[in-house]
Amino acid sequence: MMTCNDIRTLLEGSADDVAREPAIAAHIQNCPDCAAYASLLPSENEDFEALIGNAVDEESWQRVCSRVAARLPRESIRKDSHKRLSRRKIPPAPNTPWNRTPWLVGAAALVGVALLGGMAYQNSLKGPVTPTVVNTTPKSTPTPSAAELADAARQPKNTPAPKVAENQPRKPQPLPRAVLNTKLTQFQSKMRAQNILDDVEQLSIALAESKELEAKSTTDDAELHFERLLMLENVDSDAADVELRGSKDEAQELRDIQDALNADAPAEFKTALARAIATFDEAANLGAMLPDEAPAHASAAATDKASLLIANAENHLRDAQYADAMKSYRAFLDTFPKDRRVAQARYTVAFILEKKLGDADGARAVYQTIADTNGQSQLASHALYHMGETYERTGDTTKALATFEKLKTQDAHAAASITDKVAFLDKKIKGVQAPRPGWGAQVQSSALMKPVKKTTRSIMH
Amino acid sequence: MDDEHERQWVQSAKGGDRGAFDALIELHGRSVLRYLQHICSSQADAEDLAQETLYQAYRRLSTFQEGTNFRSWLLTIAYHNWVHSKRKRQSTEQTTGALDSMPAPAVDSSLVQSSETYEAIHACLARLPEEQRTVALLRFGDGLSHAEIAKITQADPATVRWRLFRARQTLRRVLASWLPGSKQVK
Repeated sequence: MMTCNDIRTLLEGSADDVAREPAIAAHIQNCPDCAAYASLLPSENEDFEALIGNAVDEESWQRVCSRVAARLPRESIRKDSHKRLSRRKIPPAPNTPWNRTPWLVGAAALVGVALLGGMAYQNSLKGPVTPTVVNTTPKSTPTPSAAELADAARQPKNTPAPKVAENQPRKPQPLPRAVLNTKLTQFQSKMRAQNILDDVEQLSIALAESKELEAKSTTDDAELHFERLLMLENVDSDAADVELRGSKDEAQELRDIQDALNADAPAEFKTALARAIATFDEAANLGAMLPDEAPAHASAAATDKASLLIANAENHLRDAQYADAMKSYRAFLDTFPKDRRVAQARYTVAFILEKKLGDADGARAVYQTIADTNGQSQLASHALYHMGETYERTGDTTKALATFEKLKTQDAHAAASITDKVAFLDKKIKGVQAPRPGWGAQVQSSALMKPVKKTTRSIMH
Repeated sequence: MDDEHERQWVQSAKGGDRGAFDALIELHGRSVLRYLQHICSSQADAEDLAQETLYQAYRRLSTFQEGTNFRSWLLTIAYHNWVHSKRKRQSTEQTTGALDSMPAPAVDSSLVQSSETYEAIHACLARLPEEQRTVALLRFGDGLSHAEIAKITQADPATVRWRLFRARQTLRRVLASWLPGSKQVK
């Protein structure tokens, strides 16, 4: 038997849904209240639409527009990118680096051509394959060869390069990236002429940029997966809500959606993250080899790497791989000690040590660091509280009391939550029998002392 | 603006026409900002997420399926950005849980009379739980269908109906106190 509320909930459906539901018509015929309710819905909808669908503040909108415009590339999207892809018979895939950054192709080509040019010059210094330069009127050639580029590089700037004879070998085969890197290092060490050195710098920057771009593409993939995982959590929490309301079928439906979404995401996500971290490392190392311009690239790569390390750690944490999570957090803390997310990362490390790995001493040391380095912030208060807890749990009541006393003097709001606890510990030290206070419930419900309920929350940004 | 024009803009934007993309944003971007202004805890957060949403829309334009609702697509991105940012914020604010337990701002009926309608509506919507607020905003603010709302929020249509029903009850109660002449339903 459907209640009035059931019927009114159904009335929220679309007109078609409502028309298809015979129970609604039957109920409304016999229930004057619901009939009145249904008759007022259309005009009430109009009222709500008029109130909620109001215009936004124009100044705010203009601010958003200018910020978006600043982030978008100055040039338009390359209009021919999809055509070039179709000519190459490569299906356009939304997540491939080529599709999203078509100019990466150009950067890679530049790297390849310049490297080959450099290698050819290096060989020419040794003597055996000196290109035959003819001083006749140059013929038009569609693509400069590696030897041509090398010769051009040797020429003083602003001097047109002579063309090589037509019988010179053309169409050099591209080399694998690993070989390119090795050759690049060898090539740099043997450079003598300043103009060639300039070319090498340009080449190295291009290579660093291309690697950085590649890493960013991978990061995008990782972010997409990350969003997907967050969506999964959302579905999960929806399902829990629905179960609470007693609708098991609906909950199962949501969980089915979750299973479908969850089919392949985590493994791909981990792979993408690992690849992104490795590539950023490579880009940052390459950047470090370069003079002047390089630090910007290296710095950008490093910033993104910090986020990736955190994401990696959170991913392990979500999978209950605590040792791996600790490894990633430690790598982040060691590599980026001045990052703004350090305190939060330390707190999570301490949490893992205390609650998951049972290392009270290790956790206490980290909590101490947080308390020492975060002044009188709420994070420091939390750290002190947990330090006190670990002392108490390991039987060191005196130190536990001292820690809670310190917390009381430092944070007035927390003091109210732990008064009974402090009194209990004080009596315990003095040997006075006292019932253990219901501090657990009190502290848990305290807004300030809200525990870390969900350790999988991201601190990526 | 008819659908045919919009379809052409979408096609041009996907082909790389930045002007067409700008036109689409001019047409639908305010909906994104309005939704985020009512769902975020601050104006600054709303603007941050709005610009992030529009930027992502530009980057992911190739994934938009022609023939579907562009505004709904934008709002889907906005919704996921908000969920994402909410989780991040919860993580960084896990030590400041006091904020979460703060009561929703009281609705001052004088706001309506003093024509500060936006603040009044915002305060009214703030009384709704987030999921109900989202559904109400998408339904009444943007006129999206139940199916579209269900798709955006990854919720079952029955859940959408239920949330809308609850949101309506709260809105009606609050608005009744502002508008003495409004319809009363038992």
